[in-house]
Amino acid sequence: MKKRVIATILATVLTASMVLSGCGNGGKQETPATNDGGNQEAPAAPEADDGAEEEASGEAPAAPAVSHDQELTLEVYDVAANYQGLQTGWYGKILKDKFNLVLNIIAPQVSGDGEALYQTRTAAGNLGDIILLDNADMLECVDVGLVADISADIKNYPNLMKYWEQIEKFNAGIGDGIWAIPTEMNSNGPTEYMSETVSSMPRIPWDFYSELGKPDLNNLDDLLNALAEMQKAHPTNEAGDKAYGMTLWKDWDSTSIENVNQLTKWYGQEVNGSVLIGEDHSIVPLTDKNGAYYKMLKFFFKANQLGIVDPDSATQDWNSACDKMKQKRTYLVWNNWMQGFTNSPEIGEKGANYMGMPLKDMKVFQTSDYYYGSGRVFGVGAQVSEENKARILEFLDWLASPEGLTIQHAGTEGLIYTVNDDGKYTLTEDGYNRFTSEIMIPEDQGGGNWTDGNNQVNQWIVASIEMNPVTGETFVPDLWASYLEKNNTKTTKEWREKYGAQNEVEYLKNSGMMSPVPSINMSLAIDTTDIGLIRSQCKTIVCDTSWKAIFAADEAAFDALWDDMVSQLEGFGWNDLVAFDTEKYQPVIDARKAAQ
Amino acid sequence: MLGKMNKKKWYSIKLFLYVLPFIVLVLLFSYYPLYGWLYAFYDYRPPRPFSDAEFVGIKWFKSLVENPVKVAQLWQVLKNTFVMSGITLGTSWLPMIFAVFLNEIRCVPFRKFVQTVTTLPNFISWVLVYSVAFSLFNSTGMMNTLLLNLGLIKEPVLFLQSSDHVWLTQWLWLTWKNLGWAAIMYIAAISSIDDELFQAARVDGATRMQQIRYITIPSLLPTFFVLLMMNIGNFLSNGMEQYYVFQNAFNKDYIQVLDLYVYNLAMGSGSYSVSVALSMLKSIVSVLLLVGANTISKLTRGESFL
Repeated sequence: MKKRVIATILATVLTASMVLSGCGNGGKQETPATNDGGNQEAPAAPEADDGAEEEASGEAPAAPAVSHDQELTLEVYDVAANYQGLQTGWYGKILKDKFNLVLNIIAPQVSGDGEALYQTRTAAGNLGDIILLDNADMLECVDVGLVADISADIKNYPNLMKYWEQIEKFNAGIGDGIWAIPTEMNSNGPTEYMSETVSSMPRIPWDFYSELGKPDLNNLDDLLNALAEMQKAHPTNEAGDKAYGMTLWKDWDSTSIENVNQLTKWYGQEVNGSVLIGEDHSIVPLTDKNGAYYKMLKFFFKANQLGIVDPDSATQDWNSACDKMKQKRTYLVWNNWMQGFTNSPEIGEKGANYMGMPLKDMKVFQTSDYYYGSGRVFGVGAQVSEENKARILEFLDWLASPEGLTIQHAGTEGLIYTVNDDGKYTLTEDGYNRFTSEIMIPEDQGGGNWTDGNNQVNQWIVASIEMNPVTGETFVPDLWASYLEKNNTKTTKEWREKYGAQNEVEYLKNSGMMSPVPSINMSLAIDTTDIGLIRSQCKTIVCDTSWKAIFAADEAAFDALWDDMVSQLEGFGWNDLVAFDTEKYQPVIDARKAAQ
Repeated sequence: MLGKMNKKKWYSIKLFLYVLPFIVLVLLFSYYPLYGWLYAFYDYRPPRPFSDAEFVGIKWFKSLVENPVKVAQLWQVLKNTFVMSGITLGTSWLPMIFAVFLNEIRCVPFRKFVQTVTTLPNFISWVLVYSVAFSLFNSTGMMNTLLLNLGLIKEPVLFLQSSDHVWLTQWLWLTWKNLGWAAIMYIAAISSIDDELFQAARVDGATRMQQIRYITIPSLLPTFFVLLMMNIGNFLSNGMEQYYVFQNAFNKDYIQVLDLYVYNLAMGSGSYSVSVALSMLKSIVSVLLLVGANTISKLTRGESFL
């Protein structure tokens, strides 16, 4: 009986994942390699540091020589990927030419039921050759022996050793040995926030906002009204497709709806499992009626009452939501990297870039740059042979090298950027448009289009704001002098005029609407079976109710759903879960207080 | 004498060898997996291997019913299961009637055509059925476009997100997919009815409806009852693929049947132990239902099938 059930389940999961991955094969790697949409000169100070680090790492022993004669296909279990299958295109060709490697990306986000994929693969004892996981999962996998210890090898890799302080600090929390390499690290120091944009705030098209006469937005209601006006004035995009004030997607949901989670940051709280952690170091349950989750859920509900929520929101996935962003079919976006799909110098010159809109009553939650890492870590599978392990580490080391980082965060020379006389880089025309339009790649460089061929692993060991020792500028093009000059568009000028600040971070800081909390990357307590069961049952209730609440008929129905959710959650042990999470995140809060 | 015994013995061995492969299959696929029931008594959570798991007794069985909210959810799941299985059982005469009427079509090419068209959906997987449903009924799908263009509605109707009539619509999808296939058994049964019965009836002046009423249907009833009994045994296993693909936040309260609930618990959360406990209960209830149905059959029709 059980076996048959499992067989049916597996068959369904497989079919589903095949169909889904088939649909996803447009190969949309949708997250641009940047956290910034910036327009200010890059600070020069960290350059000196960087040079020093370079020298130091030069003394490290060289990596062991490995043979590239045999083609090696590596399975990459990748929680960040939005694409499942072989890495192809220009980036695939570089890996093939340079290392004779082929990456086979296994993407839980794409497979339909990521949790199931993770569990079946871990139960089978082989997650992948290269493993990218959230901290807690990595801890668990190290514990059961799915991950290889690289403490004997890593010392040979100078580019990874540049981040030894961070790597060592993270692994100290796991126990003996070096098991995991944090992602998105930099060498600017633990409390810096270098970006010119915050990770989440309201972002709307400047041209439509100008049409409304640039009204002051004091609160969420003003924002909703502005969006409603915009949708009334522009019910479709230029191609005639229906446009909405906002569009949501469900495939990123966790313990609660991810879209709401991102918006809680506007009002000073970040969702972590069942609790909200405040920028004032407070910690309250997600279900707190005075908390930001309730507030922002209600914001979506009110939006739906005004008819400005895309009706496909509850059924569509990220890829279709992203297409709508690219086609200007949605007027509110929030994460700074989403501007990669909506903005470009040309659009900016027309005054139509999406710009951050500070609401007067906002208090933005923003962590400092991920000096210690972002919360996800790379590891090497325990089943990998010594020989292949050397090839994997060589590849990971390259990912952290100036050459590898330039390719990951910008692209290839000639096609995406050119080198100026002074050694700094300038984006080409194709380079400027690489996220917003289809850039075809010459056949000898891998063929296909740029987006499909881009690095589908979608996670970086070193952050894009790291300084490139070769140019003395960041790896991310958005902060290059040449870019800032070109990007000083009509939109930017008008925005600066209205808000009297160079960029949104400056504005928010000056008006006391933001003070970055130190970013902490530590390994936290893992769920016990009991807590795991409670979490999963509560997750379903929170997510299902949240979606229903957004589309509720009226305010009474909304409140009834919320109250019903809270009482149901209690029955499923929510209070135990909150207690567990409160204790789990206390070390983070303590560390933040200590760092400030 | 001895030779005769040996011959007889050898004959039974031969017969036994004939069935042996099937016994092995049954043991392998129906009894060996019962070993997995062990998981219900341990604190098992991947990626940790089972050998490390701690014995917890009947903790998970108790946790299923430890408070009213959990009982209410389980109750809702059982209700969904019973109602949807009930609707299916209650309408299980449909394929029979369909077969009877199909058989009355005199134009053979048309009959074959209808039969083929109604059988085909059975071979389409639920995932594909859902993608068809999605493209027909999403907010920019054919149905909404049609209704919008006809001016019947102003805003798109979100058919798939509706929490109304979930049981009914799910039954319609199931019937659409299964009707033709389920009728095959009856079509075969009809062709085995002695033609002399019909000829005699016609001589006696029976109309077509009377022939159906007094010959065809009574001859099909044994087949019908066997199939019905088998369905009762499967009462709790109304499958999960269909409900899995159609489920969303809005209809989940009504669509979550037992199998889907077990799946959501196990695969969604890694609570394998709890879901094993739940599916054990399910097996026991299934056996009880089957025995019950058998007893009723014995009492009412004097035949049993166990």
